Amino acid sequence: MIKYELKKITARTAVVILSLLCAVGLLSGIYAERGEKPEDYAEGYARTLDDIVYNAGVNYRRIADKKSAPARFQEEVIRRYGALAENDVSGEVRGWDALLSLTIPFAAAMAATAAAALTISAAEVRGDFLILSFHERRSSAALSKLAVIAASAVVFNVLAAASAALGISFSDGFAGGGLPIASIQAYMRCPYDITAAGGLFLRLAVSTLSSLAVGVLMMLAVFVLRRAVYVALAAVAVTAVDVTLYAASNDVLSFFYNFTFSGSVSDGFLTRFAGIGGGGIFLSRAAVLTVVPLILSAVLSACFIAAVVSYSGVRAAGKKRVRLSDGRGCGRGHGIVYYELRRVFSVRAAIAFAVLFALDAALLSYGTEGRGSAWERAYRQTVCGMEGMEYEEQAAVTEKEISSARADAAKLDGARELFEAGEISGEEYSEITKAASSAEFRLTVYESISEKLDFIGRYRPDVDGVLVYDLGWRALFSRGVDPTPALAALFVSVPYIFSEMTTGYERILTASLTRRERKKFARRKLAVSTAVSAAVLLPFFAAELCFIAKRFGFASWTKPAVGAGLIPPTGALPIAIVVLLRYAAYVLCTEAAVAVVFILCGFVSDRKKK
Amino acid sequence: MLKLEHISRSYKKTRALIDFSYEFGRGVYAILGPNGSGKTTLFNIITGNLKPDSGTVTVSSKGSRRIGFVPQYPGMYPDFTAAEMLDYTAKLARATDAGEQIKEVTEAFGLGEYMDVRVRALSGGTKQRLASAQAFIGSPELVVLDEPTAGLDPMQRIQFKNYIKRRRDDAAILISTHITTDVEDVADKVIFLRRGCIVADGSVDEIREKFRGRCWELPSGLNAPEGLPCRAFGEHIRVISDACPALGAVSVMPELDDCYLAVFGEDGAGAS
Repeated sequence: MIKYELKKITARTAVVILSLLCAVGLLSGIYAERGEKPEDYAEGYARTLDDIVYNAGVNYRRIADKKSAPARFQEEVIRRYGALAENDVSGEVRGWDALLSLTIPFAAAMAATAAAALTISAAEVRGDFLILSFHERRSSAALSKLAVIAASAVVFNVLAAASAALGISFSDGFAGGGLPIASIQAYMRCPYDITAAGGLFLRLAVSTLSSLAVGVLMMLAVFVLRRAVYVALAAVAVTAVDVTLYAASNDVLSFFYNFTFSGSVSDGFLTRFAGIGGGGIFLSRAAVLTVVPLILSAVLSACFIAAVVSYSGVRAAGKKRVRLSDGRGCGRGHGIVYYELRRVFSVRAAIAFAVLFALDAALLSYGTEGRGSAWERAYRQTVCGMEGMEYEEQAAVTEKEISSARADAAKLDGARELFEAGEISGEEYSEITKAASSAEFRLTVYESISEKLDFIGRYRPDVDGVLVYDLGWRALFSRGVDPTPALAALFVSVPYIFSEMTTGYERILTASLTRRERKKFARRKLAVSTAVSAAVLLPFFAAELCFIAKRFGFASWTKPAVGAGLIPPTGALPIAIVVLLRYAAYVLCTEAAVAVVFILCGFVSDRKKK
Repeated sequence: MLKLEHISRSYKKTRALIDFSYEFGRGVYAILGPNGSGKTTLFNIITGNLKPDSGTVTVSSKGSRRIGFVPQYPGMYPDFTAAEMLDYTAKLARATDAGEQIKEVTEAFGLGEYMDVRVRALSGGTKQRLASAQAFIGSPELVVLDEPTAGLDPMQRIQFKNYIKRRRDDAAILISTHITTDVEDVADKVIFLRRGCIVADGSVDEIREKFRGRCWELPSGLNAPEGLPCRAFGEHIRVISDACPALGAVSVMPELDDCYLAVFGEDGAGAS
């Protein structure tokens, strides 16, 4: 029966999943960051361990209830880190550091397991006449599916890690796998007495168990909800919540930090000691991430077997009473574009949009960092004060202010000796200290301005740039390519683009239209799809602008973008135009991907007709 | 309307159509054959959904719509209402009198009360009727219907046949079916297809005449001899045999069902 379960993941789907997984792993490995280790690392390591044990001892003594979770935590810290003191961490570890720090391959493996689970259970629910015919042996069918998902979880995680390792071996190679994991600087605080290779094994085990739990959960959800697409959307929503909880609760002993799936695919449990305690028991993070998915998988598997055994068919279309009409309303005169748009908008698309918009908003709130509100206020005030000045005047003012600030800061040198010698009073010393501190602060602002003026100056006189208040613009342009809006656009436009193929209406169209008419039909579809993608992406870009405007503010929309840190040729354009071009480029790239797939599918189906 | 010359098509080792040639003018053509005889392959080749391995298909259709087609499993947009589906088809076909055409097919196929119902909520039979209705929008001169009566009740079958009769002079209408009674009194020509080859063709009367003398009716109480194709016919049994199969058997004029039996046998493999 396992053979038949495997066949439900068609060869095409399997090839797509495996190819994507290998590609993601390989690219992640090739572009993984490598860490450097200082020469006196071993001494630094010993000091760090000493500090950790010392601080834990101090904290332990401060806690009154020695049986409480915080107290148990400190005891664990002392025990674990004390045992690691004898490790020799001076050896060179190469490749393992990059492999251990990667998150994307393990996240991809989890997503692949979820995709396989969705495929298997969706195939069962779609063609459920077979399972409905049999009441006996349903538990065997369920166990077969569970076995396939368990094997998939293992295979995908191993494949992801192996692909990443291959990528790393091209660029860096491997060495020192048998050395203590703390030989890698990023894992200096790893509380486990394991080797670098052992660390990878632990990551694989944790990620595999979590992938298994996710896979079983997806299969159970499809069998209960009967609609794979709603499960997929729910998975995206849960992922959004999961990522937000992980990012928001990055604290030791925080409940959410320990129980998120995001944590199981990252290396956080190796970089420092954390865990969860209660009722006199303390579990390390690694133990939590192993035990919890294991228990979850077992419970969900039991629920899944029960769901399969009690399966009674796809639910009816709905309890809504079908409204019968008197036949009016034929030939209302709607245009073809109206019908194209009608096909785009559906409940499913609306839910996908809402979920991804919420995810993007959550990521926006954690994706933008600043230097602190006081500095940003001062910077904004200073730069806006220079608005209207020519570049040369801005440069002159900045240079003057830097000199003045340095002079004020320098007054602190020697002031201490004067105060100790009694030549100045305590109040005078305090004033000098405050003035120096203020000067230091002013200096950081003007030095930042000076750097930006230097950058702008490099492109003068070709680009007539001036200093603008750029914190908002830099935050916007440095965001890079956020995939969430593209996902939302694809969720809306891809079902529309492929609706003829998925509904089977394509065959009627092929008969009805000439070749020239079919090409016109395809062009119209792509045009509608582009317009719809643009409409879907607009709220994301608007939200991005609103969020950054609230955080930093925008100014000088009409000034050359070089003032916002962009190099020519885009640097020569007004900032507003660059913002529009960014949006347009995103729309076009998203649509280009859809168009390529659409054309390829048309090409494939033309070849299939042969 | 439609000319097929030496059409052949194979799927790996299975030859679905072998050197099929025919010319279709205005009228109703019934393509009869068991499962796997090549009917759907033929229709997919005619409509351009499949390319033949060899041969040519020539369609000359002057209407605003090239070919009206109902595939074996018709697909439509599930979120459209029946009215929207017909209106959309009319827009694609650039039908000039869309309202009139939609009204005509709605009445002909009894879809009036379902016009505001979404396709996903329609029963199988109603979806089939809607699919058949959309095939005639745009006044195509060639209409290809692959098992259009599947899932229809007797009244709906009668409605379907009545409409086909009305349109027989406007277009070449090709219908594939297993159910001979659906086409017996509407078909101008009948083509029996077996394993990709034409084994018999002609008008219904010509086909019946061809098999006259091979159809015997046994009185009630008599069992059919073993090994001969037979079927129940009221209280009697009809047997296909070159010679009188049993004492008391009477030679009768075969119905189209009997001719089908004579060509394909009880198992569809081919009696003759």
